[in-house]
Formats: sequence, C-alpha cells, structure tokens
Amino acid sequence: MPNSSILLEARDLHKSYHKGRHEISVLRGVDLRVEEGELIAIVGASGSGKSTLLHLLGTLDVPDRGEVWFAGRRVDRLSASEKDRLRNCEIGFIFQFYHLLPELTLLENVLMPAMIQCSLWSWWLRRWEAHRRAWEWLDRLGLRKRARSRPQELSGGEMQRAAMARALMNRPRLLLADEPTGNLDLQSAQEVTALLRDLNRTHKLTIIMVTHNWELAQQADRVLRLAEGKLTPLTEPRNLSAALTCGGASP
Amino acid sequence: MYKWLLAWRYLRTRYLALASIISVMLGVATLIVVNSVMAGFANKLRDRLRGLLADIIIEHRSDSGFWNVEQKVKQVYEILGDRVEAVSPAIETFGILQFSYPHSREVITRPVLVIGVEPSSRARVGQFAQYLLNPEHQKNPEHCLEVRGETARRFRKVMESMRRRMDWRSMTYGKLDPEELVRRFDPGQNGPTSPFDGDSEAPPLPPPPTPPELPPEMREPSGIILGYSIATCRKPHAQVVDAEKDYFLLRPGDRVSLMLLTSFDLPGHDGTQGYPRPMEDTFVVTDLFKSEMSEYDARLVFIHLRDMQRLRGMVNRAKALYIKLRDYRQDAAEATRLLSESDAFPPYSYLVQTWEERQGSLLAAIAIERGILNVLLFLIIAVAGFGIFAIFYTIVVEKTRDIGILKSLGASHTGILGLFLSYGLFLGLVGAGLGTTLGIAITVYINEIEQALAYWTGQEVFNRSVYYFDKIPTDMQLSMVLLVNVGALFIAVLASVYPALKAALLHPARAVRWE
Ligand SMILES: Nc1ncnc2c1ncn2[C@@H]1O[C@H](COP(=O)(O)OP(=O)(O)O)[C@@H](O)[C@H]1O
Ligand SMILES: [Mg+2]
Repeated sequence: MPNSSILLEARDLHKSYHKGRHEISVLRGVDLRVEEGELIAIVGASGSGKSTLLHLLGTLDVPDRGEVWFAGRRVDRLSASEKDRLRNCEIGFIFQFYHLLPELTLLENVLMPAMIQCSLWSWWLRRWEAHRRAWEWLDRLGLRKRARSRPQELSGGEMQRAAMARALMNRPRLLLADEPTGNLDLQSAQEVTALLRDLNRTHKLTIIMVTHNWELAQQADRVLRLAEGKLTPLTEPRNLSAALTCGGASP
Repeated sequence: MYKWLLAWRYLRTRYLALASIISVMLGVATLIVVNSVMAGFANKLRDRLRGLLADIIIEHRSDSGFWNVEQKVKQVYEILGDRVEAVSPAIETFGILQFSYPHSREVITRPVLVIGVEPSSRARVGQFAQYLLNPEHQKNPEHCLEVRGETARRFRKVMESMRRRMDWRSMTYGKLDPEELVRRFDPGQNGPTSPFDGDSEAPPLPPPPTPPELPPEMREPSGIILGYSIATCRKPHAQVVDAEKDYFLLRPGDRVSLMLLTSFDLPGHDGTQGYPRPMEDTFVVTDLFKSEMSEYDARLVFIHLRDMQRLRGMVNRAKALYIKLRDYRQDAAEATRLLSESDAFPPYSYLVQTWEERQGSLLAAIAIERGILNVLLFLIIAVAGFGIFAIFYTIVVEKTRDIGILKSLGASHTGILGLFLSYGLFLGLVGAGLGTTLGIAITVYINEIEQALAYWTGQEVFNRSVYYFDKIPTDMQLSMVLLVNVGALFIAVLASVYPALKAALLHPARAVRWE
C-alpha cells in the first residue's frame, strides 16, 4: 500500500517495441515515486525512452510489465473509459510541439477538456462556468488578447502557454510535460519555465517534465536520469550539467 | 459535445470535403429530376391510356359482337347499380384510309384502327372530348361527327371542284366505246373467271348487308375524326418555341375514303355462314383528335357507331362496352367480378377487364424501367459514397495527431467515432440539402431549361415527334424527395463508418508521436 502523500508510483516498468523482427526494449525496470506537489525533471539522451515513460505514466500506453499507481489506484489495467476519465480530469499533458487543434481558436482549444467531459446537454448547463475558468487561465497565462486567434497565428511561446492552459483547464493533479521548452527560443522558454515553477508552488501541482533545458531542470525538486532503460537520481548540479551535455541535445 | 464543434469546423475548413459534397449534391439532384420527369411521363401516359379506354371494358370475343346493344347497356346498369357513371358501346376494327392531300393528286393509303363510337356517351366514359381540336366539339361532343356549318360548306366546295375534275375525266373516258368498257369490266360476258362458275349448284353470294343507298357524291356523307398525325406533318425545322409546328394537310371538310371489312361471322341472308368482304365509303373530316400519344394519334380514326354498324352489317350490334365507374379505386375489382360472374356476360363469349389489366404489359414495362433507372441513379450516390470514403480516409490519416491529442485530453473511442460519423452526416446533409434545392429548381424550371438548351444548341432535347406533349410533364412527390435524401444520408454515413472506426481505434501514444 503506497504512502498516502505519494501521488504517482511506477513499479518495475518494462516496455519494448517491435521494429520488424527486432525487439527494442526501451524501459527495463523503471521505478518512480512522486509525492504530491513535487516538481520532477527527467533528463536523458534522445531515444532513451523518456516520452515512452511519460505515456505509460499518463495511461496513453500500457507497460509490458510493471504497475502504475495513481492516487492509490492501479491505473495501467483500468478499462478504456476509466482511463479516458482519468486523462480528462486528473492528468494534464503538454507536448514539445504544443499539439493545439488547428481548426479551433485558442479559447476553444482551452475549453476542449471541459467539452470532452460534458455531453451536449450538460455542456449547455455548464458552458458559462467553463468559459469563466478558461478565461481565468488565459488571463493568468497572459493570452487574453489572443483568445480568438487560431493557433497558427501565434508564436511558439504563446502556443505552449495555450497548451498549458488547456492541460490545466480541468484542474488536474498531475501535469506531464514532454520537453515543453524544446521548441522555444530562450525567452519563451524562460517564461514557460517560470510559469511551471509558479504553478507548482501556488497550486501544489505535481509536475513531471522531460527536459533538455538546463534552467528548467535546475528549478526541479529532483532530477532523474533515464539511461539504459532505468531511472537514476541525479542531484549534483555538476553531474546534471554533465548529464545534459552527454545527452547532446540541449538547446 | 466537442464532436459537433469539431465536425462543424472540419466541414468549414476542409475544402477537400467540398468534392464529396458536390458529388452527393449532383446525385441527389439527378435522382430528384429524373424521378419527377419519369413520374410525370408515367402519370401522363397512365392518364392517357385510361382516358382512351375506360375504367372497365367488356369485350365480346367474336368479330360480330353481341346483339341488342340497348339491352346489354341496361343489364350493366342492373348488375352494377349506382356504381356506374356511364356506359358506351363501341366497335373497333381495322381499316384502310385513303385520301389525297390538297394540291396533290397522289392517293395516300394508311392502315388505321377504326373505332365506331357514340360521341355523347363516349365523352362521358373517358377522355374523348378534350382531345378534339375544335373547341366547339370539346363543349358539345355529341355533334362532333356531324357535318355542319363551315365543315359542310367547305366539303361542298371540295366536292364541286372534284366533280368538275371528274366531268373532265369522264369526257376523256367518253371517247372510248361504252360497249368496249362494259365488255372489259363485266366478267360475266367473258366466260368463266371464278372457280365456282362452272358449278351451277354454287350458292349465290349474299348481298352486302346494308349497302350505301346512294353514291357518295350525291349523299350527305358522314363525319370522321382523324388522329392528329394522320392529318398533319411536322415542319422540318420547327423550333420548340414555335407555336405552329405542323402543316395541316387535311382540314375539316376534306374528303377521305375508308375501307373496312364486313363482319366475319355473320350468317348470310339465307342462313349460310357469311364471309367478309370489303366495304368502302366516303367520309368528311369533321375534327382532329390529339391525345399527345404519338402511337394513338397516328393510328386512330373515329366514326359514328351507326356508320360502323351500317358498313359492317352489324345492325344493332356492338363489340365492346366501355364502362366508367363512379369510384374506380374502390369498386373496380368488385365490378369486374360481378360482371364476369353474371349470366348476361358469360366468360366464354365476353372478356371483362379493367383498363390496367388491358394495358398491363405496358404499365409493367414502365414500372420496370423506372425501377432500373433508379437503381442506376442510386449508383451515382454510391459513387459519391466512395468519394466520401476516400476523402475521409485521407482526413483521418491527416488528423492522426489531432486524434491522439483528443485522446490525451480524455476523448473516448465512441467520442472519436461519433466525431467522424457526424462529420459524414454533416457532409451528407449539406450535399443532400443543396442537391434537393438544385433538383427542385431544375424540375420546376425544366421546360425553360429545355428551351434555353434548344435555343443554344439548335437541337431539340426532347423530341416532339415521338411525344406530342408540348411541355415536359413532371410530378414531384414529397415521399420520393424524402426517400432520396434519406438514402443519400445513409450512404454518406455508411461511407464514413470505416474511416471513423479506424480513427477511433488509433493507438493514442502512437498518434501523439505522429508528425
Ligand atoms: N511506436 C513505436 N514503434 C517502434 N519503436 C518506437 C515506437 N515509439 C518509440 N519507439 C522507439 O523507442 C525509443 C524511445 O523513444 P522515445 O520514448 O520517444 O524516446 P525519447 O522521448 O527519450 O527521445 C526510440 O528508439 C524510438 O525509436
Ligand atoms: Mg521524446
């Protein structure tokens, strides 16, 4: 039975992919415990399986072996609809390429999780409440003026902030960020970094992020390194910089 | 909720989808137009076929028909009671019509179907009066076969000039020796020519039953109504828009002669079996008959029942009774049954049929034709369906990442499925809506469109020498329009099922990675 303050726990995760006849085993026994309110950075060379790990933690994929526990519940064997609910309400995702829906405006993108949650009828009842929340987040992230624009009209930093607003829309307890600054210029990266740190502090939001960003990694409570299919803690800043340089993909 | 929003946005932003909308639209429009026009033609045809016959036809199987017409009519009223609205006796037979067009001496011979009718009762039994060209006759059909007024005046003039010509001709003949003429034409003086001649026992031929009393030149002749195409011919370069498209070769007052056979199996005067012989008489055209059915207008000829009886030797006889019922739909089956079971019309000598039974094969052919055409046209929409399928498939592939994002945000399989199905439904709705509008517009303005096409191309789209309808008949049924729309929507949704399933079953993690 996991400790009550532990939000997320991964036990002995294994995952391998088949490429033709070859089997690539990406994760070979990953163990991870994340406490509520922690900000964790995961670093590692590209292709080491960081995205795979995040997908497993976020129930987008199932591990070959091992267990994922979320808030005291084993989630990797849940039914599809329960996983959908979990992703909708408890877990937020941010991706390197923002992944906004190009047909919708920023506001609609941010509203999307709330819309997915509701049927047509309940949406009709709750649309004002949802709009209020969406505007709050847009305000908070400085996107009020951009709410009616399409994603392709925005800069990278704005898009990433919109993606954050969308991920936070349904007030998740866990935010999984896959290289959130990987595609941003320095200033936008700093803004996003500051925001993540701020969210983590003020909202007690648990964040797990994959990053090559030195500054962002430094902000984390803990930095973990994924190499050869295993997670190892990495606390010394010196080691950190070494890890990042040997990762070779720092911006 | 989100699926409606997204489907709506996809509809508005994916111009690729326009292609499938257009194909659905064209399919729906074509189906509506073709069905309306075919229904229009079929209705008009049914209307004409029924009008030219009657609701129920009692026909005597023999060529000489039945005796005592009045009594048989009375019996029909007795059997059917107040279900009957009108009864009209008739005799139909084949004949040969001979005439020469004015300004030409050539004699033209046409095989025709001669119908002896009583105009007043005939007009009540079916559509007869409304097909006559003379508006006077349309109002009072009972006079339509009488030679009166202008017709009679014109006839006298024609006859006068003809007699003059005859006189002139007889003057030339007059130069021949009359004895020589008699010798030439009287076979009796030239020895035996008939195989029976040597046999003194051979019975004398029965005289013609009722020969015409006077030579036609001296007698006021009877009237005849000719089918429109017998008396007219189409102007070679007639345009659709022209009011006068035909030359009238024969007009009321012109003289025609008609040859018929006497009735086949009437006994001779001395009780022996008779056999048919040709009878010829002169008639005056009193009117023309235009039913707009080329088949009928080129073949039908109406004379008075009285004249028919006289020529065929069928005194007080008729071959058929045409019956009009008050309520055809309700009473037809019952009436046919009552008539064929009654003693007055025993089935071995009478044939009782409704008009639909009589025209069964033609009506069936129309129905089959319409069915096949519908199947073929529905294939158009099916093709549109394949278009939707292909377009959807590419859209699903293109949207793989978005589908992954939606899943990462908690969208369910059924939600994604619903998204693409409702997209298909929207495409179908828009296509079908536009198609219905277009189809209705074309159907309503089809005659104007046809005229415009004929004007631009100089070619008649719709050949008036086959169909005499001046306008293209249309009949748009609400149920047909609805059915076509439902079918189109069904196909649009059906075509999106597979791509939608593929989208719903995408692996979310792989979809998110997809670039
Ligand atoms: N769907 C897949 N099929 C086959 N191989 C995959 C698939 N997804 C990822 N991989 C492989 O797994 C390895 C880890 O990938 P990923 O988790 O994206 O690494 P990272 O995010 O650390 O760069 C890579 O070598 C990648 O090629
Ligand atoms: Mg990655």
